[in-house]
Amino acid sequence: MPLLGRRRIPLSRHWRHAIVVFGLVLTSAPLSAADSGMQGLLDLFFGRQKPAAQAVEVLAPVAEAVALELDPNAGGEFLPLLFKCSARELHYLKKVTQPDDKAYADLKIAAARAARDLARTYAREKQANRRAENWSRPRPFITQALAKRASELLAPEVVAVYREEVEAREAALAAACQGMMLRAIDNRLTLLPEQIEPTRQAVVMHWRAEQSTNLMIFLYDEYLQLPDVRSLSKALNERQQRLLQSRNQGRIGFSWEQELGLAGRNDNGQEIAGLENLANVDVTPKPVAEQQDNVEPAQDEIRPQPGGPKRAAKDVAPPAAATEAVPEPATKGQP
Amino acid sequence: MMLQRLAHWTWSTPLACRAAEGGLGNTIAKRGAIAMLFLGLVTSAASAQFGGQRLEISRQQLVGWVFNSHGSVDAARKHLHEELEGQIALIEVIGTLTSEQRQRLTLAGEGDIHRFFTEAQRVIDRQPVGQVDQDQWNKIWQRVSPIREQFNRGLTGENSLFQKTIRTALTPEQWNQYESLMAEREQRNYRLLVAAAIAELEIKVPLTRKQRTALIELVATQTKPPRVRPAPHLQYIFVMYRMSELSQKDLRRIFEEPEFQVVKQILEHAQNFRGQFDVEQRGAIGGVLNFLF
Repeated sequence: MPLLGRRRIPLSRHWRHAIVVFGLVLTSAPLSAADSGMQGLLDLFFGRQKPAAQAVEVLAPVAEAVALELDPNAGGEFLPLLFKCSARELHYLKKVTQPDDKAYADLKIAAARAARDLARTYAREKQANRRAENWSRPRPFITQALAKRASELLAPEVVAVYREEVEAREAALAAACQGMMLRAIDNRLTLLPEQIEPTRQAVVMHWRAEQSTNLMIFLYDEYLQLPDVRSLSKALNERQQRLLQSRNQGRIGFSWEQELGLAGRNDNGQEIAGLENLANVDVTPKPVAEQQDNVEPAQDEIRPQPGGPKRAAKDVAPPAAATEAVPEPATKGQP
Repeated sequence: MMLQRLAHWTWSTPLACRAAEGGLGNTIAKRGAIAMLFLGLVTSAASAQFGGQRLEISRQQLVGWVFNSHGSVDAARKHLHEELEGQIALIEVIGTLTSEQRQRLTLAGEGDIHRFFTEAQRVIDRQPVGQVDQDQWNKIWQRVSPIREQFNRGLTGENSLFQKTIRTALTPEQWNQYESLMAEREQRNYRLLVAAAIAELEIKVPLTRKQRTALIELVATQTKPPRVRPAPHLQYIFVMYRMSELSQKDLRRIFEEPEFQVVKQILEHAQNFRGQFDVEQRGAIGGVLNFLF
């Protein structure tokens, strides 16, 4: 059969048809090529790595998943940031209470342990497929653990000052978040001057502690979940209530670091000079004899410090305290 | 090189070998077969890159995305009219407007709404619907996003016909009252933003009550709110930028030295956004100049 020239192609009809059909099939570029046998050819040609078979993830009910055994190293991915957060809190504690070296060394261990405990908790949360915005808030947990240890090491009035400062900071954070919520409501509904205070009060009244965690979320008005119209009905007029109900964009998602308030827009990697590296702190319980060797002489050295933090012999934590686990952070939504 | 490898591979396949044995040699038929193979592979590769995903998009969905879950253009239009009413109600805080003033403001606001919907409809109508691939989807999203953002921001902002009309519709006395009302609102909302930005700063540098109170007071009273609202993700950075304009002496008084060093770095970082913030401010001034001249 002549074909575009003098030469004849000694191919059978079957082969000619096969070439044409094969070519047509290929040029039609089926969208499911990724799933077809063509994938092998594509991989061969374009060096495209065939994705490894994904592990089948079985979504266990929360209660069961939480009860599952954790790998000893679980939560390792959370540790670097939690160590930093804990180190900042340790710095804050030091700034407010100015503990002596011995107490500070103990507090450093408590800070490191709090970070590790929190990392394990987050590993459980992750294992239970809970979203990061529902995980326990890290800062209150760490400050609570530090305050507890500090109360065993420092004078009560000094610890009371620390607790007050921590509470004031939490209150300021809540007020800032509530203020941003009020601002978003004003932006959307155009509040009249006389509506500002009643709206603010309504926002505060229906506020939940976990709302004061992620400051990033308040930057995006359209994705911010405004309070329910019923909670603001006394402060708003009908038009505003209609406007409030008319939009629901859904919640914007952030990385776990931002959801938990561990990182913000200002995170340029800089840290306060002298911040402790808690990753190197040994938190493993020491044998009782060793602890006594360490603790007993220290007790003799402890003297009340006038006008400053003091640590009386009776305030020194018993050896068992070193092994005492930091209280498990309350998991939201769970009994 | 790729083509050579392709040809080499094609040649080495049993089909090609058989064809060669059969005398295909360098004929056009062989080249055609190779070309077809090559085309098929390239096209298949392209579609495989998108993971074979295609989205089904309807005009109705586009409207929903652009108008923030409002199911129809009419619903979105009604929403904007209610927002406009809110703006006029705020102006009326300074005193009852005459029916003529109210009418002028309403007409101006409706003009903004009309202009917006004409543009929005034009953009929406130009988008492909039906099955689209990832690339097409990205392009659609890029085209409709500005309209979506404008809808979310509201239409009565800087440079709107409504804003320009306020100045001419109100009496000088009313205008002064209106300006002070707006300034008060701006200042109140700026103070809230400052408190949040400082709470964010405290992620890095935890402050005592005394430090916090002093810092919020300093920034809220000694710096100015933005004339144009910065992009959402830059709002806290804007406060840091404003803070960077304060004297270091004042800031040093509040922070301990190691803390100040971190704050200084953050403020220097915020200054990198100067161009962006200045452009926004210039835009506002430009709008005023445009209106005046």
